[in-house]
Amino acid sequence: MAALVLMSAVLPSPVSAQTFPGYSVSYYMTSHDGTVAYNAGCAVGQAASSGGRPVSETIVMDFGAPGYDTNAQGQIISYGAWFFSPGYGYQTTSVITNLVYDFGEGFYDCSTATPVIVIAAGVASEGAAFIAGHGTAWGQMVNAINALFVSHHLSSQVSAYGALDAENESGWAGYSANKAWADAFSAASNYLYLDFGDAGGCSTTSYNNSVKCNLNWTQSMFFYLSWGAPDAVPFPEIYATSGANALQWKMIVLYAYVYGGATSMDIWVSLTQAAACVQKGGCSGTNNSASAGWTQLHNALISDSRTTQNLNWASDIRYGY
Amino acid sequence: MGTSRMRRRFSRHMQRPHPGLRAATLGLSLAAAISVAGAALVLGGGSGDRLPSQKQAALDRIAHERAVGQADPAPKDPAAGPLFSTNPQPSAAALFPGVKTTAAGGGLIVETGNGPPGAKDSVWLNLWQEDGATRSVAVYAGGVADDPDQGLVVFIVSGPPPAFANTVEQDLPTPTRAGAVRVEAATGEVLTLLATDGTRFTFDAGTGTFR
Repeated sequence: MAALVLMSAVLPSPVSAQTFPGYSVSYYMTSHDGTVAYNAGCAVGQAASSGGRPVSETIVMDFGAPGYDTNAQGQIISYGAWFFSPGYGYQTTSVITNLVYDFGEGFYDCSTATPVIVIAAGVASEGAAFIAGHGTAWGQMVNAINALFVSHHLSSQVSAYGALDAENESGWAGYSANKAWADAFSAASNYLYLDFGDAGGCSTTSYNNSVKCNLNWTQSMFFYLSWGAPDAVPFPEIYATSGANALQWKMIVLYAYVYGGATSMDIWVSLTQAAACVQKGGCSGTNNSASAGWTQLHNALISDSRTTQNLNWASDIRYGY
Repeated sequence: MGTSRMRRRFSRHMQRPHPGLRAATLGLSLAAAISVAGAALVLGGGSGDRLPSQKQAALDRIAHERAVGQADPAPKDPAAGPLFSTNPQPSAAALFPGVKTTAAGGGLIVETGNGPPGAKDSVWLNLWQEDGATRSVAVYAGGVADDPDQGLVVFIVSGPPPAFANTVEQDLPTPTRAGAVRVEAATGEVLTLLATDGTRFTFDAGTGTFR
């Protein structure tokens, strides 16, 4: 009986209504400096320990567009990403490994023993380097980050996932490249990746996969990239103040239930961009607060018994720390 | 790496040898998850249904690693600072692999089609960037994806490297509809932008305005 009671604490049962759990801060990464990352992680750890942030949180570090470097023969010699600060340009997965570790170490050192954090290292689905080889390298990188956390005895409080900003944007990669990356990551990594993309143009009312999303993508494609792929978990952008993004993702969850062969498709986190919008001087109609985004998605999901579920986390993204 | 940090890392490595992951059985992982119920809050959610096998295995692994870490935690030592305190800045060639760069004014024109953070519904031709002592500036040049006649500049200013703190971004359409633009040249922080129809615009990256 005791075990059952404890299990219920580990695997929460769906409830009809939750209260907003607070939110973490995710980052468009601009700096590759270890000390800067450590200090930022330290500040998060302190806040989580003093009640200023959730005691359990998931964040995305978005490292920008995927990249690779080649030798004189044109052979790929490293994979990495193009940071959002142009001055730091391309950085390898080795540098990113160190950077995520430093942030996690700062969190660990400056927190009490209670808070926990998952740091999801992400890239966008754009550019010529967004290929299966990059997915493999990124999955191996996440393995290496977690190996560091374990070997340095920080893993009680700090873990790493991958992350993918999968979007059907003009000029971005098509679905086949996204699928290749997702499958390669899943084959290479022992850990999950969070799909922190959107579902651009998908239906807010239909879930039968017949209404096309932007650029002829379908709900089944977004389902695969965010849940169907073995390591995928959705962390969707809920930016629209109209509530449309929340309804789009509810329809994808419903598609998964009815047509996708998934008894449940669990969404763990809602992502908003309110802080980035302030930094940009505004985003008309897409500047949901973390609370508003979470509430829209939560309300959409619990409005149907086939999609009802807990939504345990929220995050809001900004430029830099 | 300073002496104190070396000592601490030695302590983390050597005084408490990590037991390894060989014992990561499902049973142990589940027990670990139960024993750290608070921490387990980070390991799932949603419907409460059992997850597909590979996702569940990934969570079991995390739960196991959490338990391993709890049994043998590193000392908390913020005074020692980060393990990788300085990631070496690569050479210019390595920083922009396969991408043409040209010195221009006080900065560098980078012929990459990568866009700024979170950019949607836009196309990017190149950018100009400058890292100064007091601030970092980036000017992404391109256009609106579904409106080919409308050029667009994204102007980003932040604090200097390495922190790039206090980033502020502005989306600035070109004053007239002349097509997508690219950075052609720069004098100091004054950029010349060339549009697809041949029109040239002058953009002042010192003030973030078109002249």
